[in-house]
Amino acid sequence: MKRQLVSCLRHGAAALVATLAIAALPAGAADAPPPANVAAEAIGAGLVQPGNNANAFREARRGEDQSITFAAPPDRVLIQSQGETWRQMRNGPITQYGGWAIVVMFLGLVVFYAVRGEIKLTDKRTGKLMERFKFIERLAHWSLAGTFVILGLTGIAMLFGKHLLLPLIGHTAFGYLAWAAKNVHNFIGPLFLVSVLLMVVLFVRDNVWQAIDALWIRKAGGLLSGEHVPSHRFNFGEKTWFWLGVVFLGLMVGTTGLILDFPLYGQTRQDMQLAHMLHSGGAMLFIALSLAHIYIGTVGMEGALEGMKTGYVDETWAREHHEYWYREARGERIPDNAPRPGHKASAAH
Amino acid sequence: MKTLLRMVPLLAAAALFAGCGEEPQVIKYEAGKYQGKRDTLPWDSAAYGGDKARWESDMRARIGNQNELRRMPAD
Amino acid sequence: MARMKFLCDAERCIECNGCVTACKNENEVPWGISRRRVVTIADGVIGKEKSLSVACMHCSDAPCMAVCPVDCFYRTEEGVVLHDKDLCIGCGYCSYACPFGAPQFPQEGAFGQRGKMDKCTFCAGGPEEDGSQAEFEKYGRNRLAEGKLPLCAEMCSTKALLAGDAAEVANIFRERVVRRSGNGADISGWNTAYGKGSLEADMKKGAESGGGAK
Ligand code: SF4
Ligand code: SF4
Repeated sequence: MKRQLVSCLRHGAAALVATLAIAALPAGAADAPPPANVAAEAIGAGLVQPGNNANAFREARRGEDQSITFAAPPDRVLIQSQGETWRQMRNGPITQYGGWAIVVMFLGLVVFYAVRGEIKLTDKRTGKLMERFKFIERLAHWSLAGTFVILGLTGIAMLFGKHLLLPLIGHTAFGYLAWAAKNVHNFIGPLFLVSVLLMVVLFVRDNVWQAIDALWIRKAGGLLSGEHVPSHRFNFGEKTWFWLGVVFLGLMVGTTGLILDFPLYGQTRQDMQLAHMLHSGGAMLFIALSLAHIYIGTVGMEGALEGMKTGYVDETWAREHHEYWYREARGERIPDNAPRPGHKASAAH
Repeated sequence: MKTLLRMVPLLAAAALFAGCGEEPQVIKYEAGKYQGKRDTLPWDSAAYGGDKARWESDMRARIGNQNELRRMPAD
Repeated sequence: MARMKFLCDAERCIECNGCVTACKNENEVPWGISRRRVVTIADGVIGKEKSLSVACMHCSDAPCMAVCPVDCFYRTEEGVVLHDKDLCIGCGYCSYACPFGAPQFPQEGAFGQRGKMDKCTFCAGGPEEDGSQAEFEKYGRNRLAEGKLPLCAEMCSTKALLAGDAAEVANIFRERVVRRSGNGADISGWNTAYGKGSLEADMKKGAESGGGAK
């Protein structure tokens, strides 16, 4: 960004000086060979010079007022300086911070697991089951999860494979692998976006703000203390993942992916660069956050995976982790947040 | 077995770490240095049979041909 | 030979597009691709209109090389940037990064799927046996191996486009500019086209390796 700004300023300044210099010359001076002293001055300033290509290239670099007779390439400028910015972003922050975000999250979870261990149920299981996720909800979740994992792995192969895999398996094998990864990525991508949309439609209702969420924030979800903080169907942690992960990152990565995937709708290179930066940057964050989600949904918490696998959870689990949801399902009224009309249906047997 | 399983995340982490180093991704061009995949050099062709000097002098002549000022009769 | 470079003289280029056509014909470039293009600045404005012919500039610090996820680019001794079509996955990244719009793609399949990237090779073929049919089909003619220069430059009618060893080309250009009563440090525009310091460095190397002025 800074580089770009600096180069903008530089170009701007050069253009300004050039205009002034041209204005200062007597009319017609550009055609006739200029007197020696004028030429020398102009050379000193690196400006108006007959037969100096540098001027033409500098003009070209500004990217304005250019045309091309053969219309094959999608953009008509001679030099697109934005490419360099994109290169710096991709090979710099996106690769490095993105990579570190994933590594740090992974290590953080390993440490967390070592310290906290699995969050177990405090009471015995009752053996009575409650429906937590309907079939269509599980379908949406698992198709999102499946496509996410495939896209994540193939995406990582394309961003980091050059450093991780290529030295191990060599150019030829990695070439085939990357080719497969790219095609899988391109064909699975749209499916991912469909799953995201389905998820949003199905889950948005239970992910709106509810008064009890304030308590969850105050107690940091009881993650460290081990305390059970009551919540409705989804607690604030799950809601954060829904809004930040599924809705924001999911839609952003999904739509920018479409822009990259179908390049035939008049996108310029600059559109592609922007889309790619949002896509890969967002994806890095998405992958890092998803590790935490996967952790808490599998080894991190007893009974969590069951719910998404079978659709049913034990009543004890429901009471301990989503107390208000449990009580609502049993027909109780929650004083500070009366159930909305029709809400009970989702939890009924 | 258990220790072995414990090693897995560590190894995975180590592998992932490797991708986060700040290494230049393009080799700086150095004049006269070949930086690349297996490919025959231009003077190893049928026409030159490895005679680099002859190739270079031919190229030089060819480049000179682009200079119409040199090709003009001197006056 | 120190360093192969293109030079386009904006004072001479008349936008005839001969180089574009010559390249397409010589290399039998895939449909829809022009490895070289001629861009006109300020078209129709008297005294300001300039045309430049541009293709791959065989950058010293090549952005395409830096972003390619399969690392399929390489550089020859003469500084020509080539790539391996067998490895290319058609991701398009090189075309996002390249300042000169050199990498282009044949369309393959229904949804704008890109085929293997195609770009100017400085008429140096690619990583196949020199002069072989496979090399020709994938990358075009290998003129360097035949002791010839890129056709676009060799056939340029106004000699606006020059190709060859940096020091030699600079000499030709200097001679020309002296006649045009000009002067200046970077009159060739190379520092803008190839990156800062590229002119000085290549000239020096060229002089050392004996490729320079006689
Ligand atoms: S001009 Fe473009 S394709 Fe050619 S070397 Fe430079 S970045 Fe690569
Ligand atoms: S399109 Fe091919 S050459 Fe270009 S960056 Fe992708 S893999 Fe490399």
